[in-house]
Amino acid sequence: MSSNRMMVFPELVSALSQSTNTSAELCEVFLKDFFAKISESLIDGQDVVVEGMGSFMVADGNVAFEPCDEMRASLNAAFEFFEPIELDDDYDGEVPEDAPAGAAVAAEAVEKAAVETEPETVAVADSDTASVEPEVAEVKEDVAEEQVAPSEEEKPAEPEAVDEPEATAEEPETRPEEVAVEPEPEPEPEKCPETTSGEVKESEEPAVEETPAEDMPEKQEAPAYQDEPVSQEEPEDEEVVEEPRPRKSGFWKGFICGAVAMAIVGGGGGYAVYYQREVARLEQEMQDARDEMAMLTGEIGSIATPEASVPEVAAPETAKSEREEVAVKEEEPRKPEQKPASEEGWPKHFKVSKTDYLSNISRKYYGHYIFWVYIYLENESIIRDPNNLPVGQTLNIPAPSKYGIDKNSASSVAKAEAAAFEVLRKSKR
Amino acid sequence: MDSKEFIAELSKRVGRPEADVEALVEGLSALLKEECGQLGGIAIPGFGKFQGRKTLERIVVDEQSGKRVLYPPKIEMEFVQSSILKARLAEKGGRNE
Repeated sequence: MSSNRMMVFPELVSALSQSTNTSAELCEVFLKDFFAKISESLIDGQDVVVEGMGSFMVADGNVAFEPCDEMRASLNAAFEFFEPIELDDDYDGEVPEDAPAGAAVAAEAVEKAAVETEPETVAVADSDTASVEPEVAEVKEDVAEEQVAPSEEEKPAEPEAVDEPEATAEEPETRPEEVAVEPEPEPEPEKCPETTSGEVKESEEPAVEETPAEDMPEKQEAPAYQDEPVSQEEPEDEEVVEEPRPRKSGFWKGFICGAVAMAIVGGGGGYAVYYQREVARLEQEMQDARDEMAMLTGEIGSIATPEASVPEVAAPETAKSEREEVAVKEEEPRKPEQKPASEEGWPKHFKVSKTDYLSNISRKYYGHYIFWVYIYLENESIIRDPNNLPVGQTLNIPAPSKYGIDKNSASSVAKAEAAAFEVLRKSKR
Repeated sequence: MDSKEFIAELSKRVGRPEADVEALVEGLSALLKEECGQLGGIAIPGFGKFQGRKTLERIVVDEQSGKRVLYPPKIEMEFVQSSILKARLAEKGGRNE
């Protein structure tokens, strides 16, 4: 029903040849002569009536074609069981039991109103069918005389009407097409309307007015024709429009959910990659720290030997005064070492200033910076970051015997290095 | 000119019996019904084109009474004359005047 294709002349010749089982040449000659004869007749001022097709006529210098009732009924065979229904103002959405009959009368009444512009018949039609019967008869006569073209009022019965025997019985009487045919006793050519033109339709149109879109809520109450495609003015149209809305919202919901899921997955993946990179970086730093520690250990070993040999190597008498100064400077760190041996005055206390570091404090009290880790362990509750001492706090300096601190002992130094390594690793984590 | 006269003259013009011409006319009518019923059309060079047009269901309101009537959809056949035929008609009209 929605091809909208235009058959051209060669296709028409071929189709006619197949349908009539004749030669294409004959069909081509026939079609050319057929339309040429019609054209000549129209030019001569004669209207042409073709049985089973319709009538051709000239109106205001233009050719008009009016299909016959047979053709019109054949075109609308799909809507044969539909019938106009008058909608009440207090329509409750249910199909009235007398809908087919009332609708049929309404169709007749509206048709008459279109011809005679008498709207009162429409009002009467629904309420009292008996009182309308005479008017319906008048309508039949009018239609038979004027052969009014099928306007919007001409429609067959509804599907619901099929189930009711009364409606089916009344159908032949109420259908406008058949009403136009029955009164005429003449043969089929007279079935075709002869005097109606498109202008007549237009003149009838003003009698009625198609509802605007605002009437749609009321139209939705009509249950008929739900299986037919509807226009924007029709009640099902809103339903059709409303149905896709959940689809759209569902689509957007799904899209948003998908986007959120993708964001979560992407964020998790990114975090995993970031975590792996951080772990790798920390491991690399730990490895660097180990290497650095190893290098420092080697330096310490190389420095420890010169310290013991410095007094012997730098023993020239000319530098005696310098050695005495160095000895005086070294006496201070040595004094704490001597004290741990006796463990007198331990543990000591040290107040942290801005320029103090654990390594400096360790060097001050133990003669070697590597033992800073023991000071840190002793004050772990105070010191959160071994590289950033709390200024103003007082630190406990443990006795060297507590941790076996001996700057001349390689094992003690190595032990302190291992402890420092562990502390650094924990602090980095 | 009614249908019988038209068939008779067409039969003479085509040179075939009237029965054959009537059969061809019926076949042509059937094709028109089929094509226009599917909202298609048939174009005839130099004459015009027949086309099916569908009017959807609608509610018609009487302006004075306010009654609303729901009408079912329908299919109508339209004919649009060609410019050649219109020109010939205009030429003939000019001669007659």
